[in-house]
Amino acid sequence: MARKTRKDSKLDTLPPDRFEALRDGLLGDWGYQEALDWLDKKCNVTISISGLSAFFARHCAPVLKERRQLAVLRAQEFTKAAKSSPVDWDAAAMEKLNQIFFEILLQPDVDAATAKRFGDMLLKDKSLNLDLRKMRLLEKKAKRLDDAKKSLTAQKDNGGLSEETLELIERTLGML
Amino acid sequence: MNLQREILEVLRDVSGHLMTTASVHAQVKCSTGEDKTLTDVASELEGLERKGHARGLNHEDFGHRWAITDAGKVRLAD
Repeated sequence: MARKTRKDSKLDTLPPDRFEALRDGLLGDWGYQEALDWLDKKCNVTISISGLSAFFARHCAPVLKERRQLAVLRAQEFTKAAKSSPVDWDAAAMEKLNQIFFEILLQPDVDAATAKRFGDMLLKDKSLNLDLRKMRLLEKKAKRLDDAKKSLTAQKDNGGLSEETLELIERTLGML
Repeated sequence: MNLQREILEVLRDVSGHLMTTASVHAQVKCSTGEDKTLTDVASELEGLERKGHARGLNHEDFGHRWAITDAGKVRLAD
């Protein structure tokens, strides 16, 4: 009995560069009609839509499924990394970050390593901003203490406060 | 293959995340054995929303996005 020929066997035997071009086209902007036209013009191959559809099911659909599953996993990994960073993200901000990364990673031509570098930069930038805010707060606090010390010294020089009172205040303010 | 089912599978795979109509289209445009336009996919998504299987959300930061509902997950399991 003659063996039944696969409808997409013509496509499976395309040269590797043509095979990849067809797969990438279907994973990208092409529809079936564009693919059929390209096959006809560039590869001199005529095939039915059902043959092309079988090719899509075998070589493109699994890639799309893997792409969306990886986008979910990598977005989750990034969120996990963000949680362990010194930045205190609230739940809503974390959810937005997760969604942003998911959408970036779902794009066909996005390199996951580049997306990760972008994420790391974002976290580092947020962390630096946090450090900067902490530093400014400390500077303000130091300035307030300095002002208070000057004011107290002035009071002392005018005989307004006893040595003991001044020492008590300075100890309380952590200046001694 | 049924386009609504394909759309639900995509939304289920990314459950917990939202998708634009264009992203859903990119995932399913050839999956039913014929070319589907963005309008076809938008129309099916609206149909799924009417059945309560998908939910369209206007997110304040991201704009309009789609998600699967629990009823949509049940439909896929059937």
